[in-house]
Amino acid sequence: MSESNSNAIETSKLGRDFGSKKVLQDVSFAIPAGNVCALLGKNGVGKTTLLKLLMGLIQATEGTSCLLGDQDWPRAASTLRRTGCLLDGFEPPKATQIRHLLDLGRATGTEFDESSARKLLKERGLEPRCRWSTLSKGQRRWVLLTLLLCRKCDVLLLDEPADGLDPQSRIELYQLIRQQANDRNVTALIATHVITDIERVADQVCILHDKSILFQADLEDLREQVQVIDFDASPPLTQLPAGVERLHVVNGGSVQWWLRDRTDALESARFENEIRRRKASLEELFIALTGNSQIAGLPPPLVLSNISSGS
Amino acid sequence: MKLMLILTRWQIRQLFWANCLAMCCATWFALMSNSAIVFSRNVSVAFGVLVHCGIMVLILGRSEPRGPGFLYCQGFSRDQLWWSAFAATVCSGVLVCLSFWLIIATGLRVVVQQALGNPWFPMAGTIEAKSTKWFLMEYILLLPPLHYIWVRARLPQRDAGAGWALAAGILAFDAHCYTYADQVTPSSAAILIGVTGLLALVTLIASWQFHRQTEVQA
Repeated sequence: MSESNSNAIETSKLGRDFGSKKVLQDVSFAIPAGNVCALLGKNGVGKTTLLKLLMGLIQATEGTSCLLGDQDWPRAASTLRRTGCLLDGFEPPKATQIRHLLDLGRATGTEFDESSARKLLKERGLEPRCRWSTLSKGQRRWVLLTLLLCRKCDVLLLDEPADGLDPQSRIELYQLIRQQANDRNVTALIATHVITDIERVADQVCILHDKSILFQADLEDLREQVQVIDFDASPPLTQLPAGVERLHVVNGGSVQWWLRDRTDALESARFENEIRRRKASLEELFIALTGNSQIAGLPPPLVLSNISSGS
Repeated sequence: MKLMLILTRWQIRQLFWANCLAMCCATWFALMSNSAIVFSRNVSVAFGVLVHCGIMVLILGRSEPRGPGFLYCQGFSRDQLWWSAFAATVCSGVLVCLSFWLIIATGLRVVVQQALGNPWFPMAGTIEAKSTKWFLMEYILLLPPLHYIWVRARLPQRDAGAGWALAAGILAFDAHCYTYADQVTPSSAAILIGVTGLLALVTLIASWQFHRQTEVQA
Protein backbone atom coordinates (compact mmCIF):
# COMPACT_ATOMS: atom_id res chain seq x y z
CA MET A 1 0.00 0.00 0.00
CA SER A 2 2.95 2.29 -0.48
CA GLU A 3 1.22 4.15 -3.28
CA SER A 4 -1.93 4.83 -1.31
CA ASN A 5 -1.37 8.58 -1.51
CA SER A 6 -1.80 8.65 -5.28
CA ASN A 7 -4.20 5.74 -5.56
CA ALA A 8 -7.80 6.39 -4.66
CA ILE A 9 -8.56 2.68 -4.71
CA GLU A 10 -6.11 -0.06 -3.91
CA THR A 11 -6.42 -3.70 -2.95
CA SER A 12 -3.83 -6.23 -1.95
CA LYS A 13 -4.48 -9.99 -2.03
CA LEU A 14 -8.13 -9.27 -1.30
CA GLY A 15 -10.39 -12.29 -0.92
CA ARG A 16 -13.87 -13.15 0.19
CA ASP A 17 -15.56 -16.46 0.95
CA PHE A 18 -19.25 -17.16 1.32
CA GLY A 19 -19.27 -20.28 3.44
CA SER A 20 -17.20 -22.82 1.59
CA LYS A 21 -17.48 -20.91 -1.70
CA LYS A 22 -14.55 -18.69 -2.56
CA VAL A 23 -15.83 -15.74 -4.59
CA LEU A 24 -12.71 -13.58 -4.73
CA GLN A 25 -9.12 -14.56 -4.16
CA ASP A 26 -5.85 -12.70 -4.34
CA VAL A 27 -7.36 -9.59 -5.90
CA SER A 28 -4.67 -6.93 -6.21
CA PHE A 29 -5.08 -3.78 -8.23
CA ALA A 30 -4.82 -0.01 -7.88
CA ILE A 31 -6.61 2.90 -9.49
CA PRO A 32 -4.91 6.30 -9.39
CA ALA A 33 -7.01 9.28 -8.34
CA GLY A 34 -8.87 10.89 -11.23
CA ASN A 35 -9.07 7.75 -13.34
CA VAL A 36 -12.16 6.06 -14.69
CA CYS A 37 -11.71 2.31 -14.57
CA ALA A 38 -13.95 -0.23 -16.27
CA LEU A 39 -14.39 -3.36 -14.19
CA LEU A 40 -15.26 -6.16 -16.55
CA GLY A 41 -16.00 -9.80 -15.94
CA LYS A 42 -18.47 -12.53 -16.72
CA ASN A 43 -21.68 -12.97 -14.74
CA GLY A 44 -21.09 -14.19 -11.19
CA VAL A 45 -17.38 -13.54 -11.29
CA GLY A 46 -17.48 -11.29 -8.21
CA LYS A 47 -17.71 -7.72 -9.53
CA THR A 48 -20.49 -6.69 -7.17
CA THR A 49 -18.78 -8.44 -4.28
CA LEU A 50 -15.62 -6.47 -5.03
CA LEU A 51 -17.58 -3.19 -4.99
CA LYS A 52 -19.24 -4.18 -1.71
CA LEU A 53 -15.85 -4.96 -0.21
CA LEU A 54 -14.52 -1.59 -1.29
CA MET A 55 -17.57 0.21 0.11
CA GLY A 56 -17.21 -1.75 3.36
CA LEU A 57 -20.63 -3.36 3.14
CA ILE A 58 -19.02 -6.75 3.68
CA GLN A 59 -15.75 -7.76 5.28
CA ALA A 60 -12.84 -9.33 3.44
CA THR A 61 -11.84 -12.79 4.56
CA GLU A 62 -8.29 -12.16 3.40
CA GLY A 63 -6.12 -9.29 2.22
CA THR A 64 -6.75 -5.57 2.46
CA SER A 65 -8.56 -2.88 0.52
CA CYS A 66 -7.86 0.81 0.69
CA LEU A 67 -10.38 3.47 -0.28
CA LEU A 68 -9.21 7.08 -0.21
CA GLY A 69 -6.40 6.06 2.13
CA ASP A 70 -8.76 4.28 4.53
CA GLN A 71 -7.83 0.64 5.09
CA ASP A 72 -10.13 0.03 8.04
CA TRP A 73 -13.28 -2.02 8.16
CA PRO A 74 -15.88 -0.71 8.51
CA ARG A 75 -14.99 2.43 6.62
CA ALA A 76 -14.66 5.70 8.48
CA ALA A 77 -17.57 8.14 8.27
CA SER A 78 -15.35 10.64 6.43
CA THR A 79 -14.50 8.04 3.77
CA LEU A 80 -18.13 7.04 3.28
CA ARG A 81 -19.16 10.70 2.90
CA ARG A 82 -16.70 11.05 0.02
CA THR A 83 -17.78 7.82 -1.67
CA GLY A 84 -20.76 7.39 -3.94
CA CYS A 85 -21.98 3.86 -4.42
CA LEU A 86 -24.62 2.49 -6.76
CA LEU A 87 -25.25 -1.22 -6.45
CA ASP A 88 -27.71 -3.14 -8.54
CA GLY A 89 -30.86 -3.85 -6.54
CA PHE A 90 -30.11 -1.41 -3.72
CA GLU A 91 -33.10 0.89 -4.02
CA PRO A 92 -35.27 2.95 -1.70
CA PRO A 93 -38.66 1.57 -0.60
CA LYS A 94 -41.50 1.85 -3.12
CA ALA A 95 -43.38 4.55 -1.21
CA THR A 96 -40.37 6.90 -1.27
CA GLN A 97 -40.80 10.19 -3.11
CA ILE A 98 -37.99 11.89 -5.00
CA ARG A 99 -38.05 14.80 -2.53
CA HIS A 100 -37.22 12.33 0.28
CA LEU A 101 -34.16 11.27 -1.69
CA LEU A 102 -33.18 14.91 -2.15
CA ASP A 103 -33.44 15.31 1.65
CA LEU A 104 -31.17 12.31 2.01
CA GLY A 105 -28.69 13.87 -0.41
CA ARG A 106 -28.58 17.01 1.72
CA ALA A 107 -28.13 14.91 4.86
CA THR A 108 -24.93 13.22 3.70
CA GLY A 109 -23.03 16.30 4.77
CA THR A 110 -21.11 16.61 1.52
CA GLU A 111 -21.42 19.47 -0.90
CA PHE A 112 -24.73 18.41 -2.42
CA ASP A 113 -25.66 20.48 -5.46
CA GLU A 114 -29.42 20.34 -5.06
CA SER A 115 -30.25 22.85 -7.78
CA SER A 116 -28.31 20.79 -10.36
CA ALA A 117 -30.01 17.63 -9.13
CA ARG A 118 -33.45 19.19 -9.47
CA LYS A 119 -32.54 20.48 -12.93
CA LEU A 120 -31.29 17.07 -14.13
CA LEU A 121 -34.42 15.43 -12.81
CA LYS A 122 -36.76 18.03 -14.24
CA GLU A 123 -35.22 17.62 -17.69
CA ARG A 124 -36.64 14.10 -17.63
CA GLY A 125 -39.97 15.09 -16.19
CA LEU A 126 -39.17 13.79 -12.73
CA GLU A 127 -40.91 15.96 -10.15
CA PRO A 128 -39.98 15.90 -6.44
CA ARG A 129 -43.34 14.42 -5.51
CA CYS A 130 -43.02 11.44 -7.88
CA ARG A 131 -43.23 8.14 -6.02
CA TRP A 132 -40.60 5.47 -6.55
CA SER A 133 -43.24 2.88 -7.41
CA THR A 134 -44.50 4.99 -10.34
CA LEU A 135 -41.07 5.33 -12.00
CA SER A 136 -39.75 3.11 -14.77
CA LYS A 137 -36.52 1.15 -14.36
CA GLY A 138 -34.57 3.72 -16.34
CA GLN A 139 -36.07 6.65 -14.45
CA ARG A 140 -35.22 5.02 -11.12
CA ARG A 141 -31.65 4.51 -12.26
CA TRP A 142 -31.42 8.12 -13.44
CA VAL A 143 -32.72 9.45 -10.10
CA LEU A 144 -30.11 7.48 -8.14
CA LEU A 145 -27.32 8.49 -10.50
CA THR A 146 -28.34 12.14 -10.38
CA LEU A 147 -28.26 12.14 -6.59
CA LEU A 148 -24.90 10.41 -6.61
CA LEU A 149 -23.28 12.71 -9.15
CA CYS A 150 -24.62 15.84 -7.46
CA ARG A 151 -23.17 14.75 -4.10
CA LYS A 152 -19.70 15.66 -5.39
CA CYS A 153 -18.01 12.50 -4.14
CA ASP A 154 -14.31 11.78 -4.62
CA VAL A 155 -14.86 8.13 -5.52
CA LEU A 156 -17.70 6.51 -7.43
CA LEU A 157 -18.33 2.78 -7.20
CA LEU A 158 -20.93 1.95 -9.81
CA ASP A 159 -22.47 -1.39 -10.62
CA GLU A 160 -24.12 -1.43 -14.05
CA PRO A 161 -24.92 2.29 -13.87
CA ALA A 162 -26.45 2.46 -17.34
CA ASP A 163 -28.76 -0.51 -16.82
CA GLY A 164 -32.21 0.51 -18.10
CA LEU A 165 -31.12 3.92 -19.40
CA ASP A 166 -31.97 5.04 -22.92
CA PRO A 167 -29.03 5.72 -25.30
CA GLN A 168 -29.21 9.49 -24.79
CA SER A 169 -29.13 9.15 -21.00
CA ARG A 170 -26.29 6.64 -21.22
CA ILE A 171 -24.20 9.07 -23.23
CA GLU A 172 -25.03 11.91 -20.84
CA LEU A 173 -24.22 9.75 -17.82
CA TYR A 174 -20.78 8.82 -19.07
CA GLN A 175 -20.13 12.40 -20.11
CA LEU A 176 -20.95 13.53 -16.58
CA ILE A 177 -18.65 10.92 -15.08
CA ARG A 178 -15.86 11.90 -17.46
CA GLN A 179 -16.43 15.57 -16.66
CA GLN A 180 -16.21 14.90 -12.92
CA ALA A 181 -13.00 12.91 -13.40
CA ASN A 182 -11.47 15.73 -15.45
CA ASP A 183 -12.70 18.70 -13.40
CA ARG A 184 -12.68 17.36 -9.86
CA ASN A 185 -10.26 14.45 -10.05
CA VAL A 186 -13.04 12.00 -9.22
CA THR A 187 -12.10 8.33 -9.39
CA ALA A 188 -14.69 5.94 -10.78
CA LEU A 189 -14.76 2.16 -10.76
CA ILE A 190 -17.55 1.04 -13.04
CA ALA A 191 -18.63 -2.59 -13.26
CA THR A 192 -20.50 -3.17 -16.48
CA HIS A 193 -21.29 -5.56 -19.29
CA VAL A 194 -22.02 -2.76 -21.78
CA ILE A 195 -18.44 -2.50 -22.91
CA THR A 196 -19.03 -0.26 -25.91
CA ASP A 197 -20.30 2.51 -23.62
CA ILE A 198 -17.58 2.36 -21.01
CA GLU A 199 -14.89 2.19 -23.68
CA ARG A 200 -15.64 5.81 -24.57
CA VAL A 201 -14.77 7.18 -21.12
CA ALA A 202 -12.53 4.68 -19.35
CA ASP A 203 -8.86 5.36 -18.74
CA GLN A 204 -8.20 1.89 -17.45
CA VAL A 205 -9.64 -1.54 -17.77
CA CYS A 206 -9.64 -4.19 -15.11
CA ILE A 207 -10.81 -7.70 -15.94
CA LEU A 208 -12.00 -9.98 -13.19
CA HIS A 209 -11.85 -13.64 -14.08
CA ASP A 210 -11.79 -16.85 -12.12
CA LYS A 211 -11.93 -15.13 -8.71
CA SER A 212 -9.07 -12.69 -9.26
CA ILE A 213 -7.84 -9.85 -11.42
CA LEU A 214 -6.84 -11.36 -14.70
CA PHE A 215 -5.66 -8.20 -16.23
CA GLN A 216 -5.35 -4.46 -15.60
CA ALA A 217 -4.05 -1.98 -18.10
CA ASP A 218 -4.29 1.53 -19.37
CA LEU A 219 -6.84 1.48 -22.15
CA GLU A 220 -4.83 3.68 -24.52
CA ASP A 221 -1.69 1.58 -24.03
CA LEU A 222 -3.71 -1.53 -24.63
CA ARG A 223 -5.08 -0.20 -27.88
CA GLU A 224 -1.56 0.57 -29.01
CA GLN A 225 -0.26 -2.84 -28.04
CA VAL A 226 -2.96 -5.09 -29.35
CA GLN A 227 -4.04 -5.42 -32.93
CA VAL A 228 -6.71 -7.50 -34.49
CA ILE A 229 -6.11 -9.30 -37.70
CA ASP A 230 -9.36 -10.26 -39.38
CA PHE A 231 -9.20 -12.76 -42.18
CA ASP A 232 -11.52 -14.97 -44.08
CA ALA A 233 -11.64 -18.34 -42.40
CA SER A 234 -12.62 -20.27 -45.53
CA PRO A 235 -10.98 -22.52 -46.37
CA PRO A 236 -10.83 -23.34 -42.63
CA LEU A 237 -7.48 -22.73 -41.01
CA THR A 238 -6.06 -26.00 -39.82
CA GLN A 239 -2.71 -24.73 -38.66
CA LEU A 240 -1.15 -21.42 -37.75
CA PRO A 241 0.88 -19.59 -40.37
CA ALA A 242 4.59 -19.63 -39.68
CA GLY A 243 5.54 -17.03 -37.10
CA VAL A 244 2.02 -16.61 -35.75
CA GLU A 245 1.81 -18.00 -32.28
CA ARG A 246 -1.56 -17.22 -30.85
CA LEU A 247 -4.98 -17.40 -32.28
CA HIS A 248 -8.40 -16.79 -30.89
CA VAL A 249 -11.75 -17.48 -32.42
CA VAL A 250 -14.61 -15.08 -31.91
CA ASN A 251 -18.11 -15.80 -33.11
CA GLY A 252 -17.00 -18.36 -35.68
CA GLY A 253 -14.62 -15.97 -37.42
CA SER A 254 -10.91 -15.99 -36.77
CA VAL A 255 -9.29 -13.12 -34.93
CA GLN A 256 -5.59 -12.87 -34.46
CA TRP A 257 -4.27 -10.93 -31.48
CA TRP A 258 -0.81 -9.67 -31.92
CA LEU A 259 1.68 -7.76 -29.85
CA ARG A 260 3.06 -4.59 -31.33
CA ASP A 261 6.62 -5.59 -30.66
CA ARG A 262 6.08 -8.79 -32.65
CA THR A 263 4.90 -7.19 -35.88
CA ASP A 264 8.02 -8.45 -37.57
CA ALA A 265 6.78 -11.97 -37.06
CA LEU A 266 3.41 -10.94 -38.40
CA GLU A 267 4.93 -9.46 -41.51
CA SER A 268 6.86 -12.63 -42.19
CA ALA A 269 3.87 -14.86 -41.60
CA ARG A 270 2.41 -16.18 -44.80
CA PHE A 271 -1.34 -15.91 -44.92
CA GLU A 272 -3.15 -17.61 -47.77
CA ASN A 273 -6.23 -15.44 -47.25
CA GLU A 274 -6.64 -11.70 -47.30
CA ILE A 275 -6.02 -10.07 -43.94
CA ARG A 276 -7.28 -6.78 -42.45
CA ARG A 277 -5.46 -5.21 -39.57
CA ARG A 278 -7.11 -2.87 -37.04
CA LYS A 279 -7.08 -1.87 -33.37
CA ALA A 280 -8.91 -4.18 -31.01
CA SER A 281 -12.09 -2.99 -29.38
CA LEU A 282 -12.42 -3.51 -25.65
CA GLU A 283 -15.27 -5.92 -26.22
CA GLU A 284 -13.18 -8.08 -28.55
CA LEU A 285 -10.34 -8.00 -26.09
CA PHE A 286 -12.62 -9.01 -23.23
CA ILE A 287 -14.07 -11.92 -25.17
CA ALA A 288 -10.64 -13.05 -26.26
CA LEU A 289 -9.24 -12.90 -22.76
CA THR A 290 -12.10 -14.56 -20.96
CA GLY A 291 -13.62 -16.73 -23.69
CA ASN A 292 -13.15 -20.47 -23.97
CA SER A 293 -13.50 -20.97 -27.73
CA GLN A 294 -10.40 -21.75 -29.67
CA ILE A 295 -9.43 -23.95 -32.56
CA ALA A 296 -8.68 -27.43 -31.33
CA GLY A 297 -5.02 -28.26 -31.25
CA LEU A 298 -3.87 -24.66 -31.56
CA PRO A 299 -2.23 -22.66 -28.76
CA PRO A 300 -4.48 -21.01 -26.17
CA PRO A 301 -5.62 -17.38 -26.39
CA LEU A 302 -3.28 -14.54 -25.71
CA VAL A 303 -1.36 -14.79 -22.46
CA LEU A 304 -2.31 -11.73 -20.50
CA SER A 305 0.88 -11.08 -18.65
CA ASN A 306 2.70 -10.74 -21.94
CA ILE A 307 0.70 -7.78 -23.12
CA SER A 308 0.39 -6.11 -19.76
CA SER A 309 4.12 -6.03 -19.25
CA GLY A 310 4.47 -3.11 -21.60
CA SER A 311 1.94 -0.92 -19.78
CA MET B 1 -28.16 17.03 14.28
CA LYS B 2 -29.94 17.95 11.06
CA LEU B 3 -28.57 14.81 9.48
CA MET B 4 -29.92 12.66 12.30
CA LEU B 5 -33.32 14.33 12.03
CA ILE B 6 -33.53 13.62 8.30
CA LEU B 7 -32.34 10.03 8.76
CA THR B 8 -34.74 9.39 11.66
CA ARG B 9 -37.59 10.82 9.64
CA TRP B 10 -36.65 8.50 6.77
CA GLN B 11 -36.67 5.52 9.14
CA ILE B 12 -40.00 6.52 10.74
CA ARG B 13 -41.50 6.72 7.26
CA GLN B 14 -40.70 3.01 6.82
CA LEU B 15 -42.69 2.32 9.98
CA PHE B 16 -45.76 4.25 8.86
CA TRP B 17 -48.17 1.32 8.53
CA ALA B 18 -46.88 -0.46 11.63
CA ASN B 19 -47.36 2.75 13.62
CA CYS B 20 -50.82 3.38 12.17
CA LEU B 21 -51.86 -0.12 13.19
CA ALA B 22 -50.36 0.25 16.67
CA MET B 23 -52.05 3.65 17.16
CA CYS B 24 -55.40 2.23 16.07
CA CYS B 25 -55.01 -0.66 18.52
CA ALA B 26 -53.95 1.71 21.33
CA THR B 27 -56.89 4.00 20.61
CA TRP B 28 -59.33 1.10 20.50
CA PHE B 29 -57.97 -0.28 23.77
CA ALA B 30 -58.05 3.11 25.50
CA LEU B 31 -61.63 3.69 24.43
CA MET B 32 -63.12 0.24 24.84
CA SER B 33 -61.31 -1.40 27.78
CA ASN B 34 -63.93 -1.66 30.52
CA SER B 35 -61.51 -2.62 33.29
CA ALA B 36 -59.17 -0.19 35.00
CA ILE B 37 -55.97 0.38 33.00
CA VAL B 38 -53.16 -0.29 35.44
CA PHE B 39 -49.55 -0.86 34.48
CA SER B 40 -48.87 -4.33 35.82
CA ARG B 41 -52.21 -5.94 35.18
CA ASN B 42 -52.43 -5.37 31.44
CA VAL B 43 -50.95 -8.37 29.73
CA SER B 44 -52.74 -7.34 26.54
CA VAL B 45 -50.95 -3.96 26.51
CA ALA B 46 -47.63 -5.65 27.24
CA PHE B 47 -48.22 -8.11 24.41
CA GLY B 48 -49.28 -5.29 22.08
CA VAL B 49 -46.12 -3.33 22.87
CA LEU B 50 -44.00 -6.45 22.27
CA VAL B 51 -45.68 -7.10 18.90
CA HIS B 52 -45.29 -3.46 17.82
CA CYS B 53 -41.62 -3.44 18.83
CA GLY B 54 -41.09 -6.76 17.03
CA ILE B 55 -42.66 -5.51 13.79
CA MET B 56 -40.67 -2.26 13.85
CA VAL B 57 -37.39 -4.07 14.44
CA LEU B 58 -38.25 -6.56 11.72
CA ILE B 59 -38.89 -3.76 9.20
CA LEU B 60 -35.77 -1.74 10.00
CA GLY B 61 -33.51 -4.72 10.56
CA ARG B 62 -34.19 -6.47 7.27
CA SER B 63 -31.10 -7.19 5.25
CA GLU B 64 -32.86 -6.60 1.95
CA PRO B 65 -31.18 -4.25 -0.51
CA ARG B 66 -34.49 -2.47 -1.12
CA GLY B 67 -35.12 -0.28 1.89
CA PRO B 68 -32.73 -0.71 4.81
CA GLY B 69 -29.81 -1.91 2.66
CA PHE B 70 -30.14 1.13 0.41
CA LEU B 71 -29.16 3.52 3.21
CA TYR B 72 -25.85 1.74 3.70
CA CYS B 73 -24.80 2.82 0.19
CA GLN B 74 -25.64 6.48 0.70
CA GLY B 75 -22.51 7.58 2.54
CA PHE B 76 -23.81 7.42 6.10
CA SER B 77 -21.71 5.97 8.88
CA ARG B 78 -22.77 2.83 10.72
CA ASP B 79 -23.30 4.83 13.91
CA GLN B 80 -25.58 7.33 12.19
CA LEU B 81 -27.65 4.50 10.73
CA TRP B 82 -27.84 2.60 14.00
CA TRP B 83 -28.90 5.56 16.15
CA SER B 84 -31.40 6.77 13.58
CA ALA B 85 -33.01 3.30 13.49
CA PHE B 86 -33.15 3.13 17.27
CA ALA B 87 -34.46 6.69 17.56
CA ALA B 88 -37.14 5.91 14.97
CA THR B 89 -38.42 2.95 16.99
CA VAL B 90 -38.42 4.96 20.23
CA CYS B 91 -40.22 7.87 18.53
CA SER B 92 -42.80 5.43 17.19
CA GLY B 93 -43.33 4.11 20.71
CA VAL B 94 -43.76 7.68 21.94
CA LEU B 95 -46.32 8.34 19.19
CA VAL B 96 -48.40 5.32 20.19
CA CYS B 97 -48.18 6.18 23.89
CA LEU B 98 -49.11 9.77 23.09
CA SER B 99 -52.26 8.73 21.26
CA PHE B 100 -53.11 6.44 24.18
CA TRP B 101 -52.51 9.24 26.67
CA LEU B 102 -54.54 11.77 24.68
CA ILE B 103 -57.58 9.48 24.60
CA ILE B 104 -57.54 9.23 28.38
CA ALA B 105 -56.30 12.72 29.30
CA THR B 106 -58.81 14.52 27.11
CA GLY B 107 -61.66 12.58 28.70
CA LEU B 108 -62.67 10.72 25.54
CA ARG B 109 -62.39 7.41 27.37
CA VAL B 110 -64.66 8.72 30.14
CA VAL B 111 -67.29 9.81 27.59
CA VAL B 112 -67.26 6.48 25.73
CA GLN B 113 -67.22 4.30 28.86
CA GLN B 114 -69.99 6.37 30.42
CA ALA B 115 -72.03 5.96 27.24
CA LEU B 116 -71.42 2.19 27.42
CA GLY B 117 -72.75 2.18 30.98
CA ASN B 118 -69.50 1.37 32.80
CA PRO B 119 -70.21 2.04 36.52
CA TRP B 120 -66.62 3.22 37.17
CA PHE B 121 -67.01 6.26 34.97
CA PRO B 122 -67.01 9.22 35.34
CA MET B 123 -65.75 8.40 38.85
CA ALA B 124 -62.42 6.99 37.58
CA GLY B 125 -61.85 10.17 35.59
CA THR B 126 -58.51 10.55 33.83
CA ILE B 127 -56.34 9.04 36.55
CA GLU B 128 -55.44 6.09 34.26
CA ALA B 129 -53.40 8.44 32.07
CA LYS B 130 -50.55 7.97 34.54
CA SER B 131 -50.11 4.40 33.26
CA THR B 132 -48.83 5.73 29.94
CA LYS B 133 -45.35 6.39 31.32
CA TRP B 134 -45.07 2.72 32.25
CA PHE B 135 -46.07 1.65 28.76
CA LEU B 136 -43.45 3.99 27.35
CA MET B 137 -40.90 2.49 29.70
CA GLU B 138 -41.86 -0.92 28.36
CA TYR B 139 -41.01 0.24 24.85
CA ILE B 140 -37.66 1.53 26.02
CA LEU B 141 -36.86 -1.72 27.85
CA LEU B 142 -38.00 -4.02 25.04
CA LEU B 143 -36.45 -2.28 22.04
CA PRO B 144 -32.73 -2.78 22.80
CA PRO B 145 -32.86 -6.60 23.14
CA LEU B 146 -35.04 -6.83 20.02
CA HIS B 147 -32.63 -4.66 18.00
CA TYR B 148 -29.85 -6.85 19.30
CA ILE B 149 -31.33 -9.86 17.46
CA TRP B 150 -31.01 -8.45 13.94
CA VAL B 151 -27.66 -6.81 14.61
CA ARG B 152 -26.24 -10.09 15.87
CA ALA B 153 -27.74 -11.97 12.91
CA ARG B 154 -25.89 -9.73 10.46
CA LEU B 155 -22.45 -10.26 11.94
CA PRO B 156 -20.07 -12.11 9.62
CA GLN B 157 -19.38 -14.70 12.32
CA ARG B 158 -22.85 -16.15 11.76
CA ASP B 159 -23.79 -16.79 15.37
CA ALA B 160 -27.29 -15.42 14.99
CA GLY B 161 -28.64 -17.97 17.46
CA ALA B 162 -26.76 -16.28 20.27
CA GLY B 163 -28.66 -13.05 19.64
CA TRP B 164 -32.01 -14.81 19.75
CA ALA B 165 -31.09 -16.71 22.92
CA LEU B 166 -29.90 -13.63 24.77
CA ALA B 167 -32.86 -11.53 23.67
CA ALA B 168 -35.30 -14.30 24.63
CA GLY B 169 -33.68 -14.56 28.07
CA ILE B 170 -33.90 -10.83 28.64
CA LEU B 171 -37.50 -10.70 27.43
CA ALA B 172 -38.42 -13.57 29.77
CA PHE B 173 -36.82 -11.68 32.64
CA ASP B 174 -38.69 -8.52 31.60
CA ALA B 175 -41.98 -10.46 31.59
CA HIS B 176 -41.19 -11.86 35.04
CA CYS B 177 -40.50 -8.38 36.43
CA TYR B 178 -43.60 -7.02 34.74
CA THR B 179 -45.82 -9.67 36.30
CA TYR B 180 -44.43 -9.53 39.80
CA ALA B 181 -43.41 -5.89 40.16
CA ASP B 182 -46.57 -5.00 42.09
CA GLN B 183 -46.43 -8.11 44.28
CA VAL B 184 -43.12 -7.29 45.94
CA THR B 185 -42.02 -4.46 48.16
CA PRO B 186 -41.37 -1.10 46.46
CA SER B 187 -37.63 -1.45 47.03
CA SER B 188 -37.60 -4.92 45.43
CA ALA B 189 -39.68 -3.62 42.53
CA ALA B 190 -37.17 -0.80 42.06
CA ILE B 191 -34.32 -3.34 42.00
CA LEU B 192 -36.17 -5.49 39.44
CA ILE B 193 -36.82 -2.50 37.21
CA GLY B 194 -33.25 -1.32 37.71
CA VAL B 195 -31.83 -4.69 36.66
CA THR B 196 -34.14 -4.77 33.62
CA GLY B 197 -33.01 -1.27 32.71
CA LEU B 198 -29.37 -2.28 33.07
CA LEU B 199 -29.89 -5.28 30.79
CA ALA B 200 -31.58 -3.02 28.25
CA LEU B 201 -28.66 -0.59 28.45
CA VAL B 202 -26.11 -3.36 27.99
CA THR B 203 -27.90 -4.77 24.93
CA LEU B 204 -28.29 -1.24 23.55
CA ILE B 205 -24.55 -0.59 23.80
CA ALA B 206 -23.74 -4.08 22.50
CA SER B 207 -26.06 -3.61 19.50
CA TRP B 208 -24.51 -0.23 18.72
CA GLN B 209 -20.98 -1.63 18.89
CA PHE B 210 -21.81 -4.84 17.01
CA HIS B 211 -23.64 -2.86 14.34
CA ARG B 212 -20.29 -1.42 13.25
CA GLN B 213 -19.23 -4.93 12.28
CA THR B 214 -22.41 -6.01 10.49
CA GLU B 215 -22.52 -6.97 6.83
CA VAL B 216 -25.04 -5.79 4.25
CA GLN B 217 -25.88 -8.50 1.76
CA ALA B 218 -28.19 -8.40 -1.20
